[in-house]
Amino acid sequence: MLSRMLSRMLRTVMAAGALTLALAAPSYAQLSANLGALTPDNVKGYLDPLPKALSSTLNMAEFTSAKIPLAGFNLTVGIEAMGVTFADKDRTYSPKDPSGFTSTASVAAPTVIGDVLSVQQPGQGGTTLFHPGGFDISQFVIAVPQVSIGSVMGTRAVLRWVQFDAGNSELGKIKLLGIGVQHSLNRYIQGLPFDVAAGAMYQTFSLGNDKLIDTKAMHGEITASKKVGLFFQPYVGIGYDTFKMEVNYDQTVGGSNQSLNVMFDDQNSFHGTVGLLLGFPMVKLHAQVDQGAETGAAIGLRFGLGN
Amino acid sequence: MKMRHIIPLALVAFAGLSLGAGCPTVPKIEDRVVELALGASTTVSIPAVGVVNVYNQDAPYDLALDFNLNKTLSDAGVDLADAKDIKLSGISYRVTVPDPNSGRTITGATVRAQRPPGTSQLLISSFSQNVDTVSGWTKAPLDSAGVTVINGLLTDMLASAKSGTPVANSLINYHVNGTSTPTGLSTSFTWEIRFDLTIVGSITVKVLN
Repeated sequence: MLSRMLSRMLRTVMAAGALTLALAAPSYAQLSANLGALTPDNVKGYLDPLPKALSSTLNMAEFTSAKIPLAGFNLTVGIEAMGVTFADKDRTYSPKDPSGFTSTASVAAPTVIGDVLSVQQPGQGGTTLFHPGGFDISQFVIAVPQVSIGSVMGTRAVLRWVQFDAGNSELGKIKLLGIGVQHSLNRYIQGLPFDVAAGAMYQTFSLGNDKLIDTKAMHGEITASKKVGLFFQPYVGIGYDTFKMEVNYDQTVGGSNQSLNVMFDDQNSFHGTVGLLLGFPMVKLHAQVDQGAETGAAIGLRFGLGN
Repeated sequence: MKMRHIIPLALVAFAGLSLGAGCPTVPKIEDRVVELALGASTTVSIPAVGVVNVYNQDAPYDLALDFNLNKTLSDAGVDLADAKDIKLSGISYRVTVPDPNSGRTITGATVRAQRPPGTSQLLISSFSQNVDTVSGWTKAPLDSAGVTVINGLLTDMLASAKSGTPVANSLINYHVNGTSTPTGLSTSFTWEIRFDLTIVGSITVKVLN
């Protein structure tokens, strides 16, 4: 009965997670078309808000409690929604002249989250270069399914997985895979008035055909939590995030098609978390705020046994 | 305390946490009309054979025949009706077949463009190039009078594509002039001119915001 219920829940949260991820990064075909008009330097400028947003969101809500039994069966299945808001400065960038074009005035071109209107840049001899508009997005929110299973020797595993292939449609392929572990430290540090655990998680996230955007995130964290009353469990975390992102797209120059790969600068940052877990017998709710590459928040709903 | 009393308190606590961070709100699916920028280019090859001392050559070229605007827009998912503008973003040139005479150079070269019934206008102002070896693309110094001629044709091409009619007077005559050295020896090289185009069109997408 429990396994049937968890199976249904798993399918539901997987579908919800896939749908949300699909919508969070919309219109890959159009994004790809916009990138095709940009040089690698300008792709970095156009997509500049994404590494921080993805680093922050992917590295949130992995560990929401430090209370891990030494042994016993614990399983929760749920969905985690993480988001960040963008600052106004993230909405424009200063493009560099591509080969064959010499600008006569600088412009503030929209980034991928900026205004939807394109910007015209004047060039030498009366030429013009259009810079693509953005998608006018003020926040970046993704939801992913998460499974937590344990515990053996005070250790539990945390898994995230979404895979979605929309074939030849404009959605393309979306894949997120995350594998993490969290280990209780209370058995090594006796007498602490709260629970403390160390955790780490590695995630890959790619979207679009031929890995239009391909990312790798790593997060390490020390989490402390304390059960208060029957259901409340405040928690704090301090950790470190690493994030790598590359973009693969095609560009036609001089009649020939080139496949381009653009590596973005690594996005590494300290990560602090404050949150509250409501742990009812079969339902777990949590909310938290995070300060990583960006400030953000996450909420989660999980079903099952354990924290 | 009963469960039904705890849940509202919990929701208030969650809301407080979120508000405290100035954090994201519940996302909604919203429509956006986004202006895409597309890049395209087309190249004309010009053999320069048998030129002695003064390079003076006509090179007629039909941009409307050579460049498929409909396909460029279609490949990017832009409806023809939503294409807004097309302009020249630059011109580059290169040598593809080198002249066998070592040291062959064209100096003081210019390219003029004439679209009937208009008059000939300077498009590329004075440039020089060693043509005894294959070269990479070089940015051409452009003159606004000639660029206006090309932009006029591009505007007509877009209008014609939308109306489904042929482009009138699409054949532009490019006149190349320059001095060939060493003197007294005829040339035998091929060069190319590349027209870089910039196009803007809009698409409607759904975003989660």
